[in-house]
Amino acid sequence: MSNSIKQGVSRIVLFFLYRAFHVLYRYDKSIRCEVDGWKQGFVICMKAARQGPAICLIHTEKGIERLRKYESSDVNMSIEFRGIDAAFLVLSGQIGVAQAYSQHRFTLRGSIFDCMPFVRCVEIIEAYLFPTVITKKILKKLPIKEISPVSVYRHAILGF
Amino acid sequence: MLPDYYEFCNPPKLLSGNFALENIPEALEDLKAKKPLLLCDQMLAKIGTMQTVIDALVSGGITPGGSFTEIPADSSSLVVNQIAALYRSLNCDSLIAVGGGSVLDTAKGVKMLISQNIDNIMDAMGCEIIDCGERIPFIAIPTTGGTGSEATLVAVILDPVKNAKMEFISYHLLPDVAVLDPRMTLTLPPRITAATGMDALCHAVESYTCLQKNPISDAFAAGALEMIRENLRTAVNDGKNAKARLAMANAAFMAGTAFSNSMVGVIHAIGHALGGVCHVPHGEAMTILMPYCMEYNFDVLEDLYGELLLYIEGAEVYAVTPKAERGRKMISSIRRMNSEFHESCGLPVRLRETKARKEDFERVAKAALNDGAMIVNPKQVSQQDVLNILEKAF
Repeated sequence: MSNSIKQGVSRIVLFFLYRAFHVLYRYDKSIRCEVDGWKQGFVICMKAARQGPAICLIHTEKGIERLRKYESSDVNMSIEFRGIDAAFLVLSGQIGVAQAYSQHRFTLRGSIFDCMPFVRCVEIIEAYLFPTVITKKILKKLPIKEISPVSVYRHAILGF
Repeated sequence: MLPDYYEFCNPPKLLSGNFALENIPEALEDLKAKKPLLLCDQMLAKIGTMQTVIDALVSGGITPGGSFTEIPADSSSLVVNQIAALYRSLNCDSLIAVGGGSVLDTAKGVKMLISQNIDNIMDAMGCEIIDCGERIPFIAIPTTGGTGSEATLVAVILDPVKNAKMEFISYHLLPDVAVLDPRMTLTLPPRITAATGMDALCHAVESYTCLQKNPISDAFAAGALEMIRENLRTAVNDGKNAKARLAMANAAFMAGTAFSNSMVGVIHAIGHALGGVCHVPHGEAMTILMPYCMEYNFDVLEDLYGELLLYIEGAEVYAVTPKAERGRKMISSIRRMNSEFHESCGLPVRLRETKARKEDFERVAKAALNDGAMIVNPKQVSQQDVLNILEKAF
């Protein structure tokens, strides 16, 4: 598979990751509980590769929103995959976040203490976005879903 | 089983054995360093351990550029910043750290700060984000025979603003040289010898069983467990036995190398939290938690625990134990060691014997869940799971 396809897939999955994060803050109390542990204005960036697709999220009073313009000094925590191949492994559901960490697939700038709630959120979101056949392979335990994955996709696509 | 992908890094040159300290000047020369800054804590300065190192340096023609002997048990970023300023003001060109985990981790922080040319260590916080930077020769001399910090890429340093322990992970934190000299641990009291030895054992067990395990780290873990089996009891009961002391220092180094490359799991995650919230000494926390956490992980790790029986009990016991019973037997072996050290030197086997209080358990559980070690534990751990483990261990 070419890098441009991997970049494209990664961009799409990152978009859905953000939208699902946004939606599930309202509908999944585990996500809400984790996110509310961060201070207001906490900024997390996730880069699929140094020059690849990226997404920046901010914790506001409304939950999780996308931050389109930011300075690097605004970012509290930054996760950067070591390359588009590494990002694709995770974002296409071939390996989980724990495996990616074990395999040195990404670097983390910021506090590991703050990163752990984010990891747990991503794992819950993966349970909604990926089919069970994938999540059984990449998650240590399947979380309880509080709304149906179809609803999450519908909200994510329609953007509310 | 071979992982899909793994990395292994173990750069320190090891000087192990009699008169290892006397070979430090040559090691410094090899690293093109002449003016080291010496780091240790007050106790080591007081009982003469630091002086033994200084004597070895002077006998080899090295005059230290200066020393800092006020490193506390839970070193903070403020101490690291202070030592870096001293290093720069004295124009030192290398670091020699003499001590346990706190001293060695502080030295790693100082190395990071100077090599990255930054003023605040918190700017470098994270996982594998720094490059090699300016070369700062760094020699680590452990004095506890347990932490293995001289072989690890992790530094844990307190953020005094958040009052939280921050983890720094980078291959560039590893020392250039690790020195294992039996003189450095001969005066360690039996209880601390037992606690730090059990910490090393825990490093080996967790590195052999966590998600990041790989064939090379497995070999180091297995080797460490054999040395611990053969020497920890002697080191505890006969502290002046230099052979056992040196073997335990080697075991700690090997277990440290193993866990530096495969990380540790739920036992350390809860242990770090117990240390941060209740100030339970790390080795004691590991001793108490190990069997309970192994029980928790048992349904996922039974086979691997069974394999470890070979190293913790030896070939005879392993051979006569049916395969289906080996995992359980391994946990029983750990419990038996705990009981032995409880009787011989008062090592606690229950949390109620430490500063831990039940009313703190909620805070401990929350902190444990956010510890980086939790990510590589092979079984998912919830806050309630941690609370259950703590209740059982109390």
